[in-house]
Amino acid sequence: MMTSSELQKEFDRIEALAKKEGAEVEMTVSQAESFSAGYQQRKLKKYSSDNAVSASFRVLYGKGTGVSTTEKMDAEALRQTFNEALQTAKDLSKSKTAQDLEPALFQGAKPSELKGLFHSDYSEIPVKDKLAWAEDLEKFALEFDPRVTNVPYSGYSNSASERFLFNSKGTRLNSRSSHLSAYSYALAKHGEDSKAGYTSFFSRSPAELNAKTIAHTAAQKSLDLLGAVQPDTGRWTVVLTNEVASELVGLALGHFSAKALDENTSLLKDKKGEKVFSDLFNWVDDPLQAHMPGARAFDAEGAATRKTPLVEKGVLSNYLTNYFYSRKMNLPHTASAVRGAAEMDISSSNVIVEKGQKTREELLKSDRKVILITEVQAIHSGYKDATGDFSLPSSGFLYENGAMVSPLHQFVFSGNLMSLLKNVSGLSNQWNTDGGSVLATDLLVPDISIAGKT
Amino acid sequence: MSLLAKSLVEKTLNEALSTGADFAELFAEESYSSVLSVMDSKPFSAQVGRQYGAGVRVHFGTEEVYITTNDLSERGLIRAAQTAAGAKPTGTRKAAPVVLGDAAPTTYDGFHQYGQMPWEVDREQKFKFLLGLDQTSRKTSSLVTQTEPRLIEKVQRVMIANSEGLFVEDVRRNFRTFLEVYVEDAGKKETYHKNEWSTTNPVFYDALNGQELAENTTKSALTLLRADFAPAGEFPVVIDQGFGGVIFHEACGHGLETTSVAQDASVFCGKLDQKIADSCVTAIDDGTIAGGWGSLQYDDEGRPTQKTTLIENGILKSYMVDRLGAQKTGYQITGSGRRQNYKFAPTSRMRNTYIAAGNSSLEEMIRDVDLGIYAKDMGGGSVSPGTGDFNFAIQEAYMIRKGQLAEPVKGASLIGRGIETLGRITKVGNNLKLSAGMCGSVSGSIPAAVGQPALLVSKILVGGRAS
Repeated sequence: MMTSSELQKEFDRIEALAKKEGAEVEMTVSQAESFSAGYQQRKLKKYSSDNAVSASFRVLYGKGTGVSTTEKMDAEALRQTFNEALQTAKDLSKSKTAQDLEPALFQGAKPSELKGLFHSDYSEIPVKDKLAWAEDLEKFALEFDPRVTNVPYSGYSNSASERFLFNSKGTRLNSRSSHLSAYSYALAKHGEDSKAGYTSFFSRSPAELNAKTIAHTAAQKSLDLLGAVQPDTGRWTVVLTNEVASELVGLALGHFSAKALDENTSLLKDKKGEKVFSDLFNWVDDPLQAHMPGARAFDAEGAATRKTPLVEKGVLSNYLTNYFYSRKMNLPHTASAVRGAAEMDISSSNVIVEKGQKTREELLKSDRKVILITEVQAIHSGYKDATGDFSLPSSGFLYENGAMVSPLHQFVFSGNLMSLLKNVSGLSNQWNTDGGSVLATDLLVPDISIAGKT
Repeated sequence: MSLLAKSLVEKTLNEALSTGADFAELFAEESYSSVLSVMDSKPFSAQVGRQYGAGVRVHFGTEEVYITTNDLSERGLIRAAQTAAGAKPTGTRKAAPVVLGDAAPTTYDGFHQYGQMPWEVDREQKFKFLLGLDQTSRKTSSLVTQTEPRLIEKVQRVMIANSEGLFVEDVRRNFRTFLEVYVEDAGKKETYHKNEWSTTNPVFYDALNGQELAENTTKSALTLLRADFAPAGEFPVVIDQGFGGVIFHEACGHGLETTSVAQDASVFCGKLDQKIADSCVTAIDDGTIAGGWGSLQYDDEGRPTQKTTLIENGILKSYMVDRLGAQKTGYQITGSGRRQNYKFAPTSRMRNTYIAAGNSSLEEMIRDVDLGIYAKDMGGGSVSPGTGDFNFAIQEAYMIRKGQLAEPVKGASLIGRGIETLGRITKVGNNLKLSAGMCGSVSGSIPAAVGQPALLVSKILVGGRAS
């Protein structure tokens, strides 16, 4: 790991090289330490400790941009990586025309006030305590009920990282963050019937970790699905749990990106100020919620982050932009730049769907027969972002007159995401607690296609 | 020149064994990757990345510890080895001092046809190929609104050594080009993507028929524009050759990896030598196919890969077994230990997995169906090995009505349960073909080929739209 002043010195050398070439440069460095452990059949299945560092350069030359990354952190490797990015920028500048907007580094970088992102590097927690948590995640699930016969995957992990951002416009920023996470995937069996239950957890504070609750939640989910039957094929009123809703809301977020608008791949293009979703919806992108995983004090270009309303009473109020696309598309700059190993992109941070008034139980009474969908799978293959069409293998429960009748499995829930979000007719008053970067409520949606028993 | 000096590797392994571990392994890697893309008919981006690091793995019995670092200096590696050794000390050193042989040389064979490295090839030449795909797509139809041609190149140099004296070095190369075509007509949008690949030649695109790739991708996107949604419910489905093999990969393949079998989390546990499929089904996982997308000279535990018959005439013959899986189950290692990179400990994974050719023709299978679906091209899928529930998506499909191909349909996942669905494969075609894919699992995302001839599945749930 390099210190801040060592990195500063390396950047100064690179910046001088860039200046000599008539280029501008931005250097991002990420240093992270993480630990994870998991048990299976009461034996240590996984114990890993990672020490990771990487540097990424973005070089602007004329109208060309080059990006290059490395995990080798000596001076020669950094210089080589910079040179690769410079050469790419020169190559790409040749194909630019007078109509192309010149890229620029962000000037005036500063972080927003954001406390609580870094708790500690967790080295104060003895490894034996961490192993005990990992062991408990399996043990408590197995002890919960004799029908829980196996916990093939469960684990505890903690991570602490620091990122540095330097650029030719005088930016010198750094930020530390840390978090713990845990998950449990339990299998319950009864005769030939086998069902899985999964839950996850995210926090910055060890005090909030409760292995028993996580293990019991996963175990209960697997048990609840035993004896499941297939629903009839047809059109149904459904309630999507807040966990499922958070996944579906997450799928829509890429369409708010100004880059997707420019590339003509967004389904929300030219919709600002128009009603796009149910008027029950109010969505906000909020990078300043320190307890959520998407929290950040500054974006990947160094711009101070802030809260941005996305949807107000169903009307699209803002797109998400970085510095380049805010200028190119003449949109407000929302400081939503992200960059991993790849080119500069745009992404939401934490998205919060405002709660409704009703309880889940009230939503489930809204029709004589309602399917509660508790899990969807295969989003990577069953959802098509270009059209919004989806066809997702699911499981859940059948309710009649508000009372649970039977668990359901082996059915496919399908439709179009944009239409579904328009047709939402009820929101519950509870958010998902699985530690994701989208907080959503349960959603009531009428007239949904379900493929099952014929 | 070796990635690491043999003496340093030995010292690292000895340090990892110092507290009583039974086994130690060092996996070091230096990789190059590049992604070029075209957008709006112009070069859009070019990214270069270099990965550099190592993983030290130790086993205390069947308990595994894995430590990674980017610091390949003696200080960095010894610290990683000490962390590994200290994770679960069982006492004093048990194993004999490690003595490595000379590194097994990389052979110049079907796995490696060395020529230029991708960084030695002029970038303009690569963009010219990608721009050609864009132009052909746009010429094919005025309904094309956007194209995204990409070229992804990866060269992975690895060194693998372990406390049993194994010491190998290798260079793996994966090159792939993608084309995604967006079309729009009267406000209705669609998209389609196809890819081509090579594991040997970075300028493989010179020999590729780019025009055919662009025209076919565009035509498939246009077909979807006029397609209605697939129906909902159970139907017979004819799944065509190539990427159709994703059905076996998901329905059965993952469940035959000791990754799940060794932890009693597969519906195929304890079924060796039992009939698990119709007798027309023979399935193979082969890491030795020359130039195969999932082929390797050595797996990621340093062992030569093998051709493994998994199912023979419906009888389960073998699982796919890595070192730890072998220790836990007693099955023979099959050279199936794989990982995305040094950040992951290896585990048993598929390589080139396919259903062997049978005797039926595609036409005969379609003729046999009164009302069903012909799935010409497939998307990805997933499985829960513990329950056997699997799914995969159809990309391009047509209704079969009274034994004849009819209108195109789109947008459906197909779902089933592993053993039940294997039993419903009633005909196997004679047109075997393998296709490239990326497979994601606990040891990361790896190149894996899937394949099959056309198959007839007598009944499977189609997740289309209910009326």
